[in-house]
Amino acid sequence: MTSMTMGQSDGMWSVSTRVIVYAAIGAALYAVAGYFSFFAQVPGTEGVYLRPAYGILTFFGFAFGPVVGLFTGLVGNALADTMTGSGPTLYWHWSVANGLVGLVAGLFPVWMASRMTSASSRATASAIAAVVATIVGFLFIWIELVIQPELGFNAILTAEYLPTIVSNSIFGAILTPILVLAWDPLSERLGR
Amino acid sequence: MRASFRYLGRGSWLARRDPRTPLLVAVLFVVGAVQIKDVRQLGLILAIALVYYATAGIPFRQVRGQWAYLAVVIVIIAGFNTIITGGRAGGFSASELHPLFRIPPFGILITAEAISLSVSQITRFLAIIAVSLPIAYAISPGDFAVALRRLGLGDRLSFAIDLTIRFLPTLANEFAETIDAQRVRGYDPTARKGGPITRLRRIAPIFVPVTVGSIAGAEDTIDAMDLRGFGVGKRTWSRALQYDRADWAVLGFFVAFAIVATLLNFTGQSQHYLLPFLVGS
Amino acid sequence: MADGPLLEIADLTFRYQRATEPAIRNINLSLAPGEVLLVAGPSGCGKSTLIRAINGLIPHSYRGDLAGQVRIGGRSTAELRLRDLALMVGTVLQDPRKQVVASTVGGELAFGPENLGMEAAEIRRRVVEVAASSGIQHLLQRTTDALSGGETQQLAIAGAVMLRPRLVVLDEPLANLDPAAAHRLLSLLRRLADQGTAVVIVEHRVEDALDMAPDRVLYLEDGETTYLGPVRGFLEIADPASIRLPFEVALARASGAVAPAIEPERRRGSEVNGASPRLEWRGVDAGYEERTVLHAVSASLGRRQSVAVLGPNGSGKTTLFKAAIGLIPLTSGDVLVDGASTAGRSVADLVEVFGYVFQNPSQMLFARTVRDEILFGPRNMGRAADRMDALVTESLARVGLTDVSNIGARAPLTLSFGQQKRLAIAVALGLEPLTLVLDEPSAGQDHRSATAFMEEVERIQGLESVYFVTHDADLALTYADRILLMRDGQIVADGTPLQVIDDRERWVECNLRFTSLMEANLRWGSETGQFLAAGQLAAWIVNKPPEGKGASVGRSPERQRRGRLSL
Ligand SMILES: Nc1ncnc2c1ncn2[C@@H]1O[C@H](COP(=O)(O)OP(=O)(O)OP(=O)(O)O)[C@@H](O)[C@H]1O
Ligand SMILES: Nc1ncnc2c1ncn2[C@@H]1O[C@H](COP(=O)(O)OP(=O)(O)OP(=O)(O)O)[C@@H](O)[C@H]1O
Ligand SMILES: [Mg+2]
Ligand SMILES: [Mg+2]
Repeated sequence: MTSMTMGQSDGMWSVSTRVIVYAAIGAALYAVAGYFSFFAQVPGTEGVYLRPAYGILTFFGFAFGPVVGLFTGLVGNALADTMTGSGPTLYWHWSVANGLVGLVAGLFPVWMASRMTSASSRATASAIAAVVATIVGFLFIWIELVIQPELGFNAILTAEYLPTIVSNSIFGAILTPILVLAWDPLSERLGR
Repeated sequence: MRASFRYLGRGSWLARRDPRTPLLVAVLFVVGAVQIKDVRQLGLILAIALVYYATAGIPFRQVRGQWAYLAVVIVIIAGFNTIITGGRAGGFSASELHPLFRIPPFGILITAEAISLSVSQITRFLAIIAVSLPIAYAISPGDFAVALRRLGLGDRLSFAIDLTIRFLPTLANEFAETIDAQRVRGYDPTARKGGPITRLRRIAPIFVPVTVGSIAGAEDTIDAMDLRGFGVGKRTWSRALQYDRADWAVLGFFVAFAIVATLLNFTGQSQHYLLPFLVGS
Repeated sequence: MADGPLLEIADLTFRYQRATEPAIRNINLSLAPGEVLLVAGPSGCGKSTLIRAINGLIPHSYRGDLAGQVRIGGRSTAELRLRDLALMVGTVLQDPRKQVVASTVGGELAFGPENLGMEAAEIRRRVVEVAASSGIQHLLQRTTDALSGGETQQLAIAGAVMLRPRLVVLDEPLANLDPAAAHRLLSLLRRLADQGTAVVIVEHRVEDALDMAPDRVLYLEDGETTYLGPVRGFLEIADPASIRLPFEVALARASGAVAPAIEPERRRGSEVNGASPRLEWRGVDAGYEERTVLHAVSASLGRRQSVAVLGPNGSGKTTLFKAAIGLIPLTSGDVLVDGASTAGRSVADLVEVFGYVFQNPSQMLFARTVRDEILFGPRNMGRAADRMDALVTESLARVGLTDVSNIGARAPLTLSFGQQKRLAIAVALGLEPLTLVLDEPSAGQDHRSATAFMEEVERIQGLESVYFVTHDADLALTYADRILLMRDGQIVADGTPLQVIDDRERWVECNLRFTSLMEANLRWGSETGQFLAAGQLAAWIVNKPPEGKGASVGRSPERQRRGRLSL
C-alpha cells in the first residue's frame, strides 16, 4: 500500500525525485508548523517545547520511508532553530535526534507490514511507531553526557529526555494516525 | 515574525560575502563559544558577535518581535540552569557555594554561583544568536544550495535543502490561509474548552489540510523536476562562488577564535568566574 | 529531420495503472514546427493525460497500459530518455506555483540546463537571453515566492524554453490570470510559434485562447477525439453549453430558438426599503504587516443582491472580503454588518451572517467523512444535536451533492475538484448564513461546470445574497446584478453590469478586456435593459420584433447543423 509512495519500486533507501520532494515538504512543514502551534514550553525544563506539530515528523517517516523521515527531522529541526535564532549548530544533536526519530518511524512499516491489513490497524501501527521512534530517536541527546558533562545524568534525564519523550509521544500518537487516515485513501488515487 | 528565511540584509557588507562565509562562521563561532566559561571572556565574545551582526545590516524594526521572543527564551533557559543545577554545574564544589536566598514553595536554594552561571549563559546565548541570525537574513535564498554543494554536500542533498527553503514561505502562507478558512467555520484555535486530549485533537483541522494538500500538490513539483532532467546525471551549478580577501579575513579571524577558545579551555584558563558583587565582602 | 512532422501521435491509448478505463483512446495527431494546436474539452476528458504522453511522463513516470506511438522528431518517446526529451519538449503544468522549484527567478531559469550539465558560462548567457525575450529581466533578482500569479506563469514559460525545445506544451496556463495578463502570455506564445516552436496549449477559456490564432483545435470528449481541424470548423460544431464561444457563433446558432423569458427582476427580489445594507465598508484601510492593500475603501452591499468584484491580480479583491469578516484587522475605518459596527466582534460572531468560501476547497477539508466535515461548523457554534442530521441532508441537497452514492460517509478529499467545491459551499451553508461570499468560484472549472455551479448557487433556498470575486468577466456580468471594479486597493467603479462596461477606458485600465458577449450586450443593452447570457441574448436578438426588414437575417435554415452540435 505504501510501496508506491516511496518512489517506484526502487526500494526503501533510493533517493528518487519523489523522495526529494516529499523530504523537502516534510522538513519545511515541520519547520513552519512550530510557528503555528498554540502551546508554550514545558515549565521547568531546558527549552523543551511542546510541539503539537511533532506528529508531522513521525507521519512523514511512517508514510514515505526512512530517507524522508531522516531528512524531515534533521533539516526541519535545524531550519526551525535557524529561523527562531539559535542557529543550526548550537543544538545540532537535537536535530540529529529528530532525524533518527523520522528514520525509525520510516523503518516501522517494513517491520509491521504483515500486521497492517486494514485502515485502522495501519493507524494503530502508526501511533505505536510514533511512540517507539520517539523513545529510540531521542536517545541521541544523551550525547550531552560527553559534550556538556557538567549537566549531569539527572538533569538530562529529568529535564530533557523524559519531558521530551513524554510530550512528543503524546503528540505523535495523536496526530500521526489522524494524518495516516487522511492520507491513505488519497495516496491510492494519486498513484502513477 | 514570519516563518521563513527573509533576505532582509540584502546589499549589506555581510550579504555581499560568499554565502559559505556566514555558514562557516556560525559553526566556528559555536565551537569556540561553548568552550568559554569565564563571563569576562564571554563579554568580549558578545562584543565580537554584535559587531559581526551589525555587518549583516538587518533592519531592527523587522526583527523586533523575534528578539522579544528570544529574550523570553533566554531568560527561561538561564532560569532553569539556576534552579535545577543550583550552580554546581559550574564546577563549584558544594562546600564553597555562597547561598543568597531560597525560592518558595520548595525552598530552592539560589546561590551567587548559580546567578553568575546564568549571566554567563545568557551572554553566550546572545552571542550565538547574533552570529546565527545572519544565516536566515543575510544569505540570498538562491545561494543556499550552491553554498552547501561547495561545502561538500552532494548534489541531491544540497538541492533538497534548497527546495526546503523554497517551500517555507509557501507553506507558511498555506497555514495562515487554512487557519482563516477554519475560523470562518467558527473554529477557535486558542479555545480553552475540553480536556487535554480534546484540545490536542483540535489541531487536526489545521494540520490535516495543509499536510495532505501539500503532499497531493507535490505530484506537479515532481513532474516539473523530472521534465527538466533533475537527477539524470552530473549537475552543473551555474552560480560561481569565490572567496575574496574579506572572506578570507573573516574566516581567518574566526578560525583563530576557535583555536584560541580551545586552547583556553584545555589549559584551564576559562573557568567559571564568580561575579564579585554577588558575594559582597 | 527537416521534413516530416515534429510531433506524431499514432493510435495512442493509455490507461492509468489504477484506472479501469483508458483516459485517452485512439488519438491520432501530427504537428509541424511553428504550428499551434489548441486542445479543449470538458473536465476529466484526458487533456492533461495527452500532455503527459507528449512530454514523456507517460510512460517514463506514470505506469499503465500504453498502446500506439508518440514520436518527436521521428523518435519514439518510449525509447528516448527523459533527459533527451527535456531538450525537445518544454512543459508548463496546470499550477505554475507548484512548478517553480528554485528560490530565485534566476535560479529557476537555470534549473533545467544545470541538471543536464550544461556549461556554467553558457547557462548564465542563456538566462539573460531568455529573460529578455520573455520580458522578465526586471524579475531576475526577485525571490519566487513574492511573484504574482501572472509573473509566476511567465517564469514557468521562460523556464520551459530555456532548453530551446522545439515543442512547448502548456496545461491550462490562463486559470487565475486576469484577462490582461492572459493576453500578454498568449502574445508571448504567439511569438515563440512565429519563431518556429510548435505549441500545444490546453485551455478551457477557448475564446481567450483564440486570441493567439491557433492553427488547429483538438476537441476531446471522454478520452476520444471528437474534432481535429481548423478553428473555423470547430466553432461551427462546438456545443456552447460546454465551451464559451464567440458571441457571433452563438448568434448564428440561435436561429429558430425560442424567445427567452426575461423578467425585469431576475434575482433575489427587491431591497427592503429603509433596511440597512448587509455589508458596508466605511473608509477602510487594511493590509498585511507593513503593506497597506486597501486604501480608504467605502462601499455598501445590499441584503438582496448578487454582487461581483472584478479587478487585476493583486488589486485587493480577496483582501476586501477578508477585512470585512474580520480575518484581517483594519488599520482605519469601520465595517458595518446589518448596520452595526463589527469593531470588537469576533470572526465567529459573523459566521451566521456570512458563509465564506475560499478559492481552494482543499485548504479547509480535513474530516474523515463528508458528514463530519459539514458538522464541524455547527458543532463549533454549539448547535443543537438533534438538528445535525437535518443540517447535513439539507446542506448536501442544496448544492446538489445528494446523487453521489453514500456521500455522507465519503472522505472529502477523495471527491473530484468540482465536488469539493460544492462541498465547500455545503459546509458554509451548514451554518445557515444569509449571505454567501465566494472567492473565484469558477477557477479551474470548465464552462459547463462553472455556469451550472453559479446557477445552483442562485437557486439555493434561504440565501439572501451572493457576493463573489472572479476573473471571469462574462460570468460576473451574467450572474451578478451589481459589479464592483477594483484597482490598486480602491473601488473604481460600482454599478449594474451594463453601466460598468459602458466606460471602456476604465474597464481596460482594470486589466479587463472586451469579449464579444460584452460588445453585443453594449450594442443591444438599451433595448434589453440588462446584461444577458450569450444564449439568451442570441435568442432575444433573433426573436426581436422586426423593425424594418433587417431582423430576419438570422433565420437562414441551420437546423441540420444544430442537431449535430448539441448533445
Ligand atoms: N494518476 C492517475 N491515475 C489514475 N487515473 C487518473 C490519473 N490521472 C488522471 N486520471 C483519470 O484520467 C482521466 C483524465 O484525466 P485528465 O487529468 O487527463 O483530465 P483533464 O482533461 O486534464 O481534466 P481537467 O480539465 O479537470 O484538468 C480522468 O478520469 C482522471 O480521473
Ligand atoms: N498574506 C499576505 N501577506 C502579504 N501580502 C499579501 C498577503 N496576501 C496578499 N498579499 C498582497 O496583497 C495584495 C492584494 O492581494 P489580494 O489577494 O487581495 O489580491 P486579489 O485582488 O485577490 O488578487 P488575485 O486576483 O490574484 O486573487 C497583493 O499585492 C498581494 O501580494
Ligand atoms: Mg488537466
Ligand atoms: Mg484573490
